[in-house]
Amino acid sequence: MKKGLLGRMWRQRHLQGFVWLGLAFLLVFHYLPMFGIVIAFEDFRISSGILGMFTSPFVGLKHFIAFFTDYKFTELLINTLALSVLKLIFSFPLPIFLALVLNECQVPWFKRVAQTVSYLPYFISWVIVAGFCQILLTNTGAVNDLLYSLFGVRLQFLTSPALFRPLAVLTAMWKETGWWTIIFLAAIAGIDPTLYEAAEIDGASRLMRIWQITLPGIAPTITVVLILALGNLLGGGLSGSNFEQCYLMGNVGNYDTSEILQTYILNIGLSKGRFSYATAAGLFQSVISVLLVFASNLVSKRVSGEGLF
Amino acid sequence: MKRCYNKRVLALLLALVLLAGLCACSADPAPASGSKPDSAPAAQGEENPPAEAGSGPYGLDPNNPVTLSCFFDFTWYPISEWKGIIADEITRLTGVDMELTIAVDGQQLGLLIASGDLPNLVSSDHMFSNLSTSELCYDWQGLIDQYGLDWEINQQAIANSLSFTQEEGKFFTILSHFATAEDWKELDKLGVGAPMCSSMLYRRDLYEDMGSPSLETLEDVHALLLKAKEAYPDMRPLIFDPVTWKLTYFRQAYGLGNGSNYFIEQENGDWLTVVKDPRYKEYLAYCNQLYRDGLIFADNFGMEGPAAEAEVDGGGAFAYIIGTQNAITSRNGGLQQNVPDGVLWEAPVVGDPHVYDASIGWMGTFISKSCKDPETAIRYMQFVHSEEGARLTQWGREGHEYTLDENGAPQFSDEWNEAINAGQVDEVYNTALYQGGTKINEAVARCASIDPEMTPNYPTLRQHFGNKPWVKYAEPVEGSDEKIILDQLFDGQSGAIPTGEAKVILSDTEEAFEKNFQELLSTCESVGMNELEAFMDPRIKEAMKVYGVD
Repeated sequence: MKKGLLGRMWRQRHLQGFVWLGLAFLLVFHYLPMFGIVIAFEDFRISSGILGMFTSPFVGLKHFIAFFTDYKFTELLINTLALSVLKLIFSFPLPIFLALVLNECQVPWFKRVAQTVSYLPYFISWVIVAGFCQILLTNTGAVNDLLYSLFGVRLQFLTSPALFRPLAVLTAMWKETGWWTIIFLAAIAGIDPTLYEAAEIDGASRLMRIWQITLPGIAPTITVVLILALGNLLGGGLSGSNFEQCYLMGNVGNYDTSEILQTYILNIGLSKGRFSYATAAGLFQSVISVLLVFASNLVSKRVSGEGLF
Repeated sequence: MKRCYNKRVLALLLALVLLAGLCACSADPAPASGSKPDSAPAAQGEENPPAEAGSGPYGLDPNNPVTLSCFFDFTWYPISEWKGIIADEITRLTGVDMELTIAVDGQQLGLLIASGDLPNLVSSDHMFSNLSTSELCYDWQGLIDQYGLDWEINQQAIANSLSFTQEEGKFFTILSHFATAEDWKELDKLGVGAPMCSSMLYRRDLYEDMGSPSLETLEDVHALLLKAKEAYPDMRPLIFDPVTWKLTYFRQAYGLGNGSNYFIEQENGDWLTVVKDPRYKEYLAYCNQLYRDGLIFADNFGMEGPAAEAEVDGGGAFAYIIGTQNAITSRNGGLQQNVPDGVLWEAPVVGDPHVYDASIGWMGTFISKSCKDPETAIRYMQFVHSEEGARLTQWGREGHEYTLDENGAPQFSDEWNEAINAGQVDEVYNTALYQGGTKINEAVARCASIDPEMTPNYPTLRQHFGNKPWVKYAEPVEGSDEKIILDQLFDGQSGAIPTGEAKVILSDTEEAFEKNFQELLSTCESVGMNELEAFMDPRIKEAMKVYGVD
């Protein structure tokens, strides 16, 4: 019988296999590429290849300064933050609400159908969703035809800067709510049913049971999901879809609100071969995201005593 | 225990099968890196026998077949394989065939360069400067000297390539599809084809139903579209290609050339950024009036190109702005599937007839350092850039697909014309291997089956079309501060001018138009327009001397 750490690892070798594979994945695809960050501080030329990151001249913060002084920087930052915050405000509570409603539903078949229908859109790619919008929301599309027949107006859904954010938030809610509902339903399922029985005996109404048992029961899950969503706030929060939405539904008509940091990095950075500049802009966004994770974790710990770390 | 043993045997067998499969996969019969296989050419023209040894053009040996890998940096490219009558004929004549890779997105070439994994040949219409370095590619003059090729390259073509090279005096490609104003005037003698600029197609059948109103001026076009709106309220009066051409037909009419003319020459000889030219505001005002009169719709700016085509094909649009010669055949084909009596004609040139381009050419093919047989590659480039190669790649085989008449104009076979009309010319013949193609040959081939009555604008365009390559030649090199400003101003995706222009055109009132136009100017100034202009003006004047223009 082998003893000690090696022995324990041998006994757990099958489970350890999963862990090490996962760690290798993280190392190869998430940690090793981080070395590329150095090109944000260099004048990297693509023709020097990957090894060029070790030989390119060091230029300090040149690309960061260029990014912060870019004529579009303020607009991009506002657009990115506005879209992210709007999506967080509107799409974060919705799956919790839907999970509570479905949990209270007493008709099993309806509950199953509602759950399936609500999470199916999650599996539709943003390319397809953007395609639906292109078909339905054009000037001569079905939605505008309906609006025209009812109110005599046609709205420029696809090109109006004012309508881009509502459209992005609504499509994100439609697509992602069902999926996150599953997480919260799973958390609700983990609550001890005897608590509900006791509350019922004590005469608690349905709303009181939700308020006093269900919500506190899933509070740790809500906290974890919120911290993760805040960590990915600039990427789109829960749905993580800011880039796809803005890239696919943005156009010269609505760029005033649809152009965000990520699409600008792609268009003016990567597409134009300005890799150092694009890396600097990407690094800036990552630093903001890390700060948000730490800040939200701290706030969460102070307020609810729950946190990720 | 026995069960466990069986499992191990089974696992071992499966591993062996997997290993054998992997070995089989890696034993790719097609040689990479331009190596010379022992096998005979894969494809040969059915009607033509294999060429005799040593009879290939430009020192290429058809009996010594070579497979080159080639990356086409165009996501829209109409072909994906080396097949078709023209491909077979090239292989029969030269022994060369290719493994083609078509770009899946606009960033793929950048990644290939970074990874150091370039195919033997790279054909692109951008990143010329990045590729023009000995670190990545062979310089052509070096190869020509090394292998003793008898190839005198046109000095203007070399000048075009030297404008973006990273190494002074060395050129790493020769761009295809370069033509001067004189070339077009020469073509006018044959009375066929037209330069690539922007045209407006319109529904001739409906136009005649409306009494064939006058169509000679910009005001006539406006009046016609208003009439179409009134007569056919369910149709879009005008739709435009939202990606490339937009409203360029009108821009040309105001004497501003096509969209590549970022800088416009003034009467005193100075060069101004296009937005500062007084005609630019007039052009935007005209387009804005179209919008405010309900003749163009805002959602057109948010469409994809195929969506606009579908609208035209479905009979949902009266007029359509697109590239000259690009669409008249295909859109008529699409329209007549849905509206059998529908016919699209190209509208006459209205406004200023002096339409011009600022082009130093289009596609550049680079021979990468990964090519193990650069001799074959450079000889192949010589072949495709020759008159014989350019004609073969764009017109097919002489005597089969075309014959030359007494004026030297090609007369194409019925099969060729039918394939063009059916949209199958690339499938059957493969006319997309034009790495050394010319604009003239392209125009002739594309227009061969078009009824001249449907294109009354072509003679005007041939006679008045001009090219100002010095504007492009003078552009700043990649990586410079001026290039960054240029991109920030003109980038088609998010440049200050394309986005600001859309906003100005979509203004709802006269006041909003004025406000948005002033905003566009001030944005351009904050990006660095004036600094760029000060940089460009002397460079363009210098570049004009390179092309022998005072």
